[in-house]
Amino acid sequence: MRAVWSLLLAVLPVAFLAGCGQDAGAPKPGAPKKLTLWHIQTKSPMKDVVAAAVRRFEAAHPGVTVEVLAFENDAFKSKLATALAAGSGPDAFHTWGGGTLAAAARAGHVLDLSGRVPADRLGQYAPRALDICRADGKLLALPADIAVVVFWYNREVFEKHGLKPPATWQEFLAACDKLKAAGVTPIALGNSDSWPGAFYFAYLATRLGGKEPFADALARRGQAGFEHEAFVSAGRMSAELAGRGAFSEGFSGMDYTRARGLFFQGRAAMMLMGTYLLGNLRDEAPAGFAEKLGCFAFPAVEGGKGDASLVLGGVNAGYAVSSRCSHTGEAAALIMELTSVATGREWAATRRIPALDPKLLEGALASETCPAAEILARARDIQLYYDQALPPELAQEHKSTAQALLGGSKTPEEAARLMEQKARAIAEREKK
Amino acid sequence: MIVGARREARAAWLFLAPALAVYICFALLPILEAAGLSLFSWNQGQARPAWLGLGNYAEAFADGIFWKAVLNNLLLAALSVVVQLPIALALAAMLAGPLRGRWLFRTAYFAPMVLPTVVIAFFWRYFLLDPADGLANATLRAVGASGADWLGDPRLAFGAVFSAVSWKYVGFHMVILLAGVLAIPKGLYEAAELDGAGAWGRFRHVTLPGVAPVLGVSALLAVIGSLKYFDLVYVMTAGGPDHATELGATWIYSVGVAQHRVGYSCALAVVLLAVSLIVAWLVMKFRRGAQPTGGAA
Amino acid sequence: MRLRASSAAKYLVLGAGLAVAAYPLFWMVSTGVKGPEQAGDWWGLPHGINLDNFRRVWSQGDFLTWFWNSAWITAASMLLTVALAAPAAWALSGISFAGRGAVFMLFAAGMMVPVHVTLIPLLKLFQATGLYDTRTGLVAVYVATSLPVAVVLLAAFFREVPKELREAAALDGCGPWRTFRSVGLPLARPALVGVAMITLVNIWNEFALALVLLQSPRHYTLPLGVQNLRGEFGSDTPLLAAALALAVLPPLAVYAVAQRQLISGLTGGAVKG
Repeated sequence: MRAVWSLLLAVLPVAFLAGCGQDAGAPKPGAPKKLTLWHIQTKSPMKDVVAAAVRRFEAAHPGVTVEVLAFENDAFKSKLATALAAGSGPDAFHTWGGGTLAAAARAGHVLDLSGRVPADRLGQYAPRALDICRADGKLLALPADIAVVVFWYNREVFEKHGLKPPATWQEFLAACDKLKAAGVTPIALGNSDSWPGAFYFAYLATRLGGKEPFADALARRGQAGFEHEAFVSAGRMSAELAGRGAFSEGFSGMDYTRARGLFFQGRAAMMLMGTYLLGNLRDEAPAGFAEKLGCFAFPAVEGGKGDASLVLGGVNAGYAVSSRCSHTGEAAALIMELTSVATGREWAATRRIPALDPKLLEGALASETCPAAEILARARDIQLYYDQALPPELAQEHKSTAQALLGGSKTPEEAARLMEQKARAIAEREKK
Repeated sequence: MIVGARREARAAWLFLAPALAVYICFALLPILEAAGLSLFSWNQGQARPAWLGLGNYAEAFADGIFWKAVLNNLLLAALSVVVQLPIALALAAMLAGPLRGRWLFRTAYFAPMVLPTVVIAFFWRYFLLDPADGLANATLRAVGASGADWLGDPRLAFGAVFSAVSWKYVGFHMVILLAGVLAIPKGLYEAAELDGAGAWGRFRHVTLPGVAPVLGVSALLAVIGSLKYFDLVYVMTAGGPDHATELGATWIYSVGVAQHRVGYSCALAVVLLAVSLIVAWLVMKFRRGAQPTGGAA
Repeated sequence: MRLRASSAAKYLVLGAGLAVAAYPLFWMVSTGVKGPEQAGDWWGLPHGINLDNFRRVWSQGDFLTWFWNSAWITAASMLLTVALAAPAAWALSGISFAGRGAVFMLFAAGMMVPVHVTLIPLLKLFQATGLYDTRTGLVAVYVATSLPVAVVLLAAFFREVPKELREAAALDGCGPWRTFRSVGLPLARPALVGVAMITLVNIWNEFALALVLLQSPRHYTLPLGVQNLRGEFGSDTPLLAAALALAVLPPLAVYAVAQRQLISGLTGGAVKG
């Protein structure tokens, strides 16, 4: 009997370690090449747009196959972060650009695409979207989508209460008060996810001070940092907005899905959200809602130093190539197809805005998307969402302080100080 | 005798070997590597870990959110023992006796354990605690009170999440305790009845002492489970609002995965493990003290 | 009379508890049978029984694969955990040898490590050994992470086995292995069932390790598959409910059938309840 045990003991680890291994030998020359792509479009019709682009790529590149894996947002982030840290991961992957991508690139995980994309192709992209995909002088990703955050509103409700889209913050507050007094919830907000509420802070700071205070604080230039007057005032104004009951009841514990449900059902008059809100219309909004939907730009703030045409937005789908990819030419071609004009026109049909030169999109944008695209076109510049622009650790602090501001558990000064302390601690650490 | 002891020892190692081999390869080595990483700085934008020494630990001891999370863990552990176990024991005592439909009750109470976390979260979030339409607020409004923001108000969120966690685990403890109650020899009850003990007396003097060792197992599982708990809290609040429901594991996840601070998250895990071991040791000690004659550990 | 009143009260309490515990389960199934006309109606009763959702979910060929993978991985992990933990626990409880306390502590400590910090080391190990994206690899990790609780609980159980029984077996000329087989195992059968059930419940719903250590959809477990369905059907609540119901009912059925043994298994004694 003991012999059996010794045998088991000897065999078990070997069986576990080797018995089930895959053939990991070096690829033979001329052998079919395989690429893996990880993305986050788990839902039709967005998923189908990616699948169609991959099919076009495979048809144009015989001998190359693509394994496509879609993950839900949160799962994607943790799977990708773990894989990159462990020194593995897919050949090409979804990205939002900005600070997280730049950090991954600094750690050596992302291929520099400079010089790998023909100039005429580069010229097809919306320049602002490309900027979000650049860092440290490198091109790290190609953008497929550009999103802009606007106020969506229910025209029917506005007409019923004699309201017009407000142009200034005072008008906006007056509209909120009027709706509130009439028993209508002015704004749907689901802030348990914390990023939707952070839009208010970022927009107000941009209206008050433009892009500079944030850019300076991020680059650690100047004295004020994240305690700049614009941030403290933005914090105060967003807390005041929450304090006057403009948001749906219980917004702190409500999630984005529920909040947009309230808006779609006509139970709230407005919602500050990116253009991706429209991707849920088909499945979630009652019939006829799309016709009632309007949008207006985030109001100008009286006395604000920032250009009032600036918009908050970002690249909500872009694609990068891993530095460990062994078929970089093919992978670059794959992400070019994922961001091509053909793909972009299909993407536009899902009510999103492709990150392409508007001239290439004539007639492709969905009717609900057009007004938002116009706001984007009029904007002199884009302020990238703070949580995407910041490196991951600061992004977390930003979202949690912005959430605490709206929830009333931190004062604007406290929130600004916490952000600044965190930024200093990180800068200190990086110096070592 | 010495030869026998040596043979025994060799047999013991052979008995242990397969389990140890798998445990060491696939649990202990990764744990040790993580513990090693705790001595390195490995952050966003850093290609590979850089030696840091005890810096992460120094930061961990000053990390207010982490210690708040650890306190929440301890609170969760204490509340789990104080709230879940009595309910579970009461249910178990009732289900132990002759009862029609016993099978149905036992199955139903256990059902929450096998429900996927997403279902439980969906249910608590949207059905019970939704600020606009949830059952809890509808009830409050029906009696004239105003609704509450159960998951958004830092003062209420922990309690709200704890109810969901309890809902899930009461059935599990009920099953364990039911087994303990059923193991009590019937004769003891008969003797107690002859002595004139009522239902409460029988519970107090027969059931409770009889179930004590199993209650200890249950308490140990509840405490260990609470100290590394993650799932339901993460999907319901992700530790928010303002870290009110932060637990050690959710904060470690947030630091390691969302903030890309691998070395630091490992240091936090080591500290959490140390705290857990101390608590587990105290629980074991308390259990030993509670049953002077018992042989159970 | 008094007896009847108290038993009525008992049924009342138990019935209320039943409603609270089982309502989500009921909700899942009843929402799953709702037709498309009730898509936005989350909480109402179904107007009729419409099995289309179940059919649609089931016909997504993948569902069967996930199901098979989960069943295979869970069963293998459960059996291996019990098979490895039982002799280990016997050695730790009945045989005295140098290093026993240390080994016990080694296992006990493993109970309290949060899984997320071991993901990167595990992924590296898996990449290096070719275990990445294999079900066997996942089973190995599940066994390793289930062993601590299993060993500690079984050891506590074996400690209750009267010393006289072991000594009697030794006097009969049994070696340690025979003693374990003829004294330990038969007595432990119920406890083994209990440990198996705890392991099953933990593994059936495990997500983080499966997400990181598997890649191919053909290897997906139910939680991974359900997670994808959530993205896909997230706004079609009846469809999602049907998918979730299909994920829950099998383990619940196993429990319903096995609960007798489970409960006596957890009694942790040679005494029959």
